[in-house]
Amino acid sequence: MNSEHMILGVALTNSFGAHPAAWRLPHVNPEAYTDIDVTVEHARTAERGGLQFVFIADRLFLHGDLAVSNPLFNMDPIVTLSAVAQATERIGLAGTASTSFFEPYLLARQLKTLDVISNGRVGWNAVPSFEPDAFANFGKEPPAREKKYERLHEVMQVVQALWGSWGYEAGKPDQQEGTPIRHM
Amino acid sequence: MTEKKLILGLALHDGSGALNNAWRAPQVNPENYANFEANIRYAQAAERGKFAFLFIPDFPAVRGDIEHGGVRNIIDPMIALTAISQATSRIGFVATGSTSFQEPFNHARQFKALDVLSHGRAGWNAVTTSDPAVAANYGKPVAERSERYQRAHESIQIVQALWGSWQKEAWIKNQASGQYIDSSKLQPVNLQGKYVASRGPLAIPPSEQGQPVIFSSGGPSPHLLALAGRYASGFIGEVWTIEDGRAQRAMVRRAAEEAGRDPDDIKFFAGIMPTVAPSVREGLDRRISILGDTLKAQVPQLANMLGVQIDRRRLDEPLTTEQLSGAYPSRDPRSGIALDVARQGWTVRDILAHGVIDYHPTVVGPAALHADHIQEWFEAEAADGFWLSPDIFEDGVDAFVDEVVPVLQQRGIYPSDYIGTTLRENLGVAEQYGLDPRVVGTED
Amino acid sequence: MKPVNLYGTQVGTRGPLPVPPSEQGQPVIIMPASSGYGLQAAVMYADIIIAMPSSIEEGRAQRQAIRQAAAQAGRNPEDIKYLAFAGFTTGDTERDALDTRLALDAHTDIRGPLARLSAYLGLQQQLTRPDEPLTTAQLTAVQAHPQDARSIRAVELAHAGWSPRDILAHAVFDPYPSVVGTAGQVADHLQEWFKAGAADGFMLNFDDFSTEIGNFVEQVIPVLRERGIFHNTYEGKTLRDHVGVPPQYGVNPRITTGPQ
Repeated sequence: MNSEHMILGVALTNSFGAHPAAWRLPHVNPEAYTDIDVTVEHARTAERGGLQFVFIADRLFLHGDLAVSNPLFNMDPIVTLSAVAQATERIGLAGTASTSFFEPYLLARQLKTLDVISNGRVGWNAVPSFEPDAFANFGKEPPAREKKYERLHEVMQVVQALWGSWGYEAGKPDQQEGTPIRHM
Repeated sequence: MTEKKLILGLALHDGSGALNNAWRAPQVNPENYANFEANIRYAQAAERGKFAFLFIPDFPAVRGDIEHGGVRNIIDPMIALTAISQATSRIGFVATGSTSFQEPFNHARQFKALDVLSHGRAGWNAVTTSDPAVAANYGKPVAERSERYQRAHESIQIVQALWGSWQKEAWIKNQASGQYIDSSKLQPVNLQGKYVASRGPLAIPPSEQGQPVIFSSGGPSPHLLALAGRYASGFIGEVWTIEDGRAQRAMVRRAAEEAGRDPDDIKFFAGIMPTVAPSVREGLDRRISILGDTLKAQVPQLANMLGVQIDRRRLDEPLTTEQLSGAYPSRDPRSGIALDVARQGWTVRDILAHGVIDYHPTVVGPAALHADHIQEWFEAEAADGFWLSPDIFEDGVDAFVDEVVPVLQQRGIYPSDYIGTTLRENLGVAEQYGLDPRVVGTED
Repeated sequence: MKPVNLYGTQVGTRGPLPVPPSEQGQPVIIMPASSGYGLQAAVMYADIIIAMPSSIEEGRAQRQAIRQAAAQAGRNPEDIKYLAFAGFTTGDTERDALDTRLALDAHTDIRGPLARLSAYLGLQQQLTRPDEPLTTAQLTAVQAHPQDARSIRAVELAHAGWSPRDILAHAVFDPYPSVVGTAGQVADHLQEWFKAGAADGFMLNFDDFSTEIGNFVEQVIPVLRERGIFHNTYEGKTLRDHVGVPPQYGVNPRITTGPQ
């Protein structure tokens, strides 16, 4: 990375495009919402151009008017990126996951697993949810702004501490000695 | 109607194998816990053997002796199976997910997304968590049993209701008229339990199998049976003998019947830990070479199981006539098998190498022996199928698929090809979308 | 490997998490541009901040504010990359690109956007003829809202002789700055913003992924490379390499507030 060069990420938030009528174009597969091969193809095209990452935003509730247009968001960003990881080699894989609902251990584990299996290509867009519709899907009421951010700080620090808990120096397994990892 | 065939699944958990020390075997890349290509290779081998599913047990915490025993359950099951789905086309995926610490909306969404993008191959092993080490990772104490199971019932019902909230005929996607969906067929679920709740809907359409298949696993406590009877289409059992298997399978089927379901809609799977080798002797030697000193450490446990004194220094001698005549099986369900093996005259080391203290029945030797074991259990109605934990994945999956599977097929008890494209079809369980109308009310 | 034992008032964990380091150690952190609590959090944790400025001036100001806040939080401002949303539709000619956009707009009701355009042009009377360029009288009457980038752009396009339908097809009301035009025009937009210090890079949006990602890769990327403002190939393997942010493993030691 050279500061003379710009960074380009491409938003693949739904499977069609940013225009609400994209799904109606004759050359577009209207089932692309559930067809992972379509998203994989978009990511591969971006990779061919050397784009630094694909990005999948998220909302945890039904967004937009599905009577006339496709869902504005992906079925599930982390699951989708796990599939895209297998079909790409270099391009970064960035996705949104809310800090408001999931236990940090789960977030830490899913995101780091994805980072390991993609050979270090993951970015996490960490956002606190604010929409009452999202909280309703978890049987909750939205908290005050300062409580949302209190949780965000706690989640960020717990997740990153968990990421660091398998130390770099824990080492690689030694079959002769029989010690896969060392206590630090 | 063709005759009933048995169903096979493969447990994937650590990239090396079920045998203690499997990660140290020379054919294993010790970095497989983080090497995804190896897991994909094992999945593809299982698919070649027409296995119905891969099963990822899960224990989201560090346990045991990781310094020497290796690390298990590293990879998040959902991420792992999604990645594997892209390299396979028929085999199903059963991922474990705890109802104790996850929100139903999240489970509903991730499992249905995997189901849709794998074209109907996902299953959810819905478990409750009672282990303090796991609870501590979620920063919480372990809840009491009644609360855990109440939360499990609520979670599964909410998940299934969310799965059904995008109705089957909802998706119009008419490019000419511009109607994307029929909004009257995508409605909130508005479910409020004591512990969990969700409004919905979940904006994911049906997969080729409608929705993911639910599994249960563990020992058949009344609480677990009530849960499995209502919701599960597969039951991952832990049984050591045909009698155990028959009894547990019958309990699981009865539980389904009591919940208003057809008992054939729940399949009972017994575990098996195979070592496939040209002869029993070669199989034992393969195991001994990997197990090494860990065998010696098992001697006291074997002695307890048989109620006799065993000298750790006389590993390479069979039990004496005196020892054998004084031996009797303890309450450990594995002791009967251990005693049978001991009476065949094997040395102490070989008795242990037979896997008599393993987590599931172990068969060591040529393909026909494995086929005999499986056929005997299957025909005795001790299982509808088996979940395999091979000794070492690297060559153990191939050996089973290439040597044992053809024998099972020749004997007419195992299908020669996949029955269908979805997990539901390959398990032979009923269609379901949304909540099961036959199952009403919750426990308690 | 050792336990974490970190407990806040809302969440906590004992740990450890038995997942080894990835090739980049751990995932890169992205956060949206925000103010107040959100800005404070972003400069503490984020490697990349994604923003939606409507003009170069706004982008420069927000990027500077973030860099300043980062410095105050003890970080090297270079370690945070500020990316601006931008949308593109590419064609061989500007007319081709507009026609591509019009094929999509044809499925949406023009009445609402037309009323909105009338207002953004500062017209008292509503535009009624979407396919006719504005009359001389209308052009005399148009007046841009000086603080509003969309209004300024709409007025420019009206003066250039585009019809209301074509002005709308220039994507003037997309939620982020968009260019509907040739590869050269698209590259000009990116270059201008980048060189003005309004962004370290961009979050690209396309109306129709099935064609526009490929068009961008085949037509715009070569221009950016010729101009020396986009890399020729991936220099490294990881996302951290690609975006040029420093290594991090575990919690950064500079973070001392929060749960203990």
